[in-house]
Amino acid sequence: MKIINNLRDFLVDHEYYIDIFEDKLHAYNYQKLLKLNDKDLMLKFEKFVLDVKGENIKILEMNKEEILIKGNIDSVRMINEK
Amino acid sequence: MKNKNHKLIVSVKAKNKNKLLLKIFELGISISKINYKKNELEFEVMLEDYFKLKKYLVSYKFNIKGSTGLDKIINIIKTKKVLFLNILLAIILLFIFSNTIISVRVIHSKKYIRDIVASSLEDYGVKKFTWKKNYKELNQIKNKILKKYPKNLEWLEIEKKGMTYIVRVEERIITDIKNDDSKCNLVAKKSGVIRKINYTKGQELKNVGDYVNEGDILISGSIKFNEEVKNSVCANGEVYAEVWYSSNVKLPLNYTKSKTTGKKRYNFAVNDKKIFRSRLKNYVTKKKKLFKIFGVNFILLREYEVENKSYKYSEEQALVKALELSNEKIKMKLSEKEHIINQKVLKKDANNSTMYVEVFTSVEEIISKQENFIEEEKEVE
Repeated sequence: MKIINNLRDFLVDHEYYIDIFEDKLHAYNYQKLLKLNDKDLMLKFEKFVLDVKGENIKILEMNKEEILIKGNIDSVRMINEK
Repeated sequence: MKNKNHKLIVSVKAKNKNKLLLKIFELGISISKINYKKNELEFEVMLEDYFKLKKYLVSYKFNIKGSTGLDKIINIIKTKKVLFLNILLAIILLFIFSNTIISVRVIHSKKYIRDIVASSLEDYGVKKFTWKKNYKELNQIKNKILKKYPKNLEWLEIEKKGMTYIVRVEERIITDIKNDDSKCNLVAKKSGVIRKINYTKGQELKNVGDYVNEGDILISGSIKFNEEVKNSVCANGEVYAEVWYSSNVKLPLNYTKSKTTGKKRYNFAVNDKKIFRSRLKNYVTKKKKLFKIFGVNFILLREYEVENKSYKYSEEQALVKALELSNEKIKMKLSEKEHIINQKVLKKDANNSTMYVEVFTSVEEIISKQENFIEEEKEVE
């Protein structure tokens, strides 16, 4: 897995990326999980905070760099920290 | 659980699952396949991280539900050791039994053919309690055996049937041409008057109507012309002659005949032992097997009442019967081509109960047989 990740890092030169699906959200290269409850999830990235609002929000997979969540997502908002 | 990289399925009781997840994140632990249950959270975590969770989140009670990947398989094997050992043993036995030969059967009516094939097969390693050979090897062995016995074996086939090799052989029959070179006469094996001559080879020395004695040459193998032997062959044919027999018949004049009266009774038997006593005095029995349980036969018996009546032959009847008996006795000795010509009563003698009859029978039968002779060398003057 490390080889694949390194290769991906080399090929995809992004600081972060966020994939939004119908009932899922995948975030890569986040820094911190700031808030978590059934209706709200906040992730800190290097330059902004991602605020995901909805209902029945649950984490499916989680590690230091990536997170996959599931739920009825109502809104995704980027809050700049300037 | 020696492999630190292997994953565990862990369950933990938590009222506030989100709080727990935040704590896990704070510890920098990766978790996957998170399953939200009522008052419980289930997820997969590395063994290394599981120890970290246990160390830092002491207020939670983590339970290992199982493992994943190779360790899961190893765990299953460990817990169901006996079952897997049995399966393994069964596979090994199946492999051994399906690849072992326990008997080699050579099919041929002649013993010497069976023996040479069996010994050759053994020499080439086709014997009982050995591993099965593949098609190519069997073919090679087959060809080697056929090459080894070119005069005895025509064809050979080795067939695998379960744990047995069935070897079918065909014998090579070489016609002995030398036989045609043998010289023989047709001679009389009995005395009699010739009635018919059929021959394909040789020279006729006797004619129809001639009386011949035992040992006389009937058809000669030496073909002569002007008293000089031109050629010698093996005489072949059949010479029929009238020969005579006299036979003695002893016939009892009183005899009994059985006749069914029409009365019938049923009975049962268990292994030939009657169950009920028969109510008939004289009877004949017909058996019918009903069923068999544990080697015990249950038989239905039908008993037909018979009446025995005594009779006595008259003199004429006794003579006819005696001739019949004599006829049967002679016919037993004859072949299909031979037959009885005539029968006569020579002598008869009767007392109260028995009649003695001497019967003279003339029969047409084959009296010729082949007899080899050695050709005389001509003297050189």
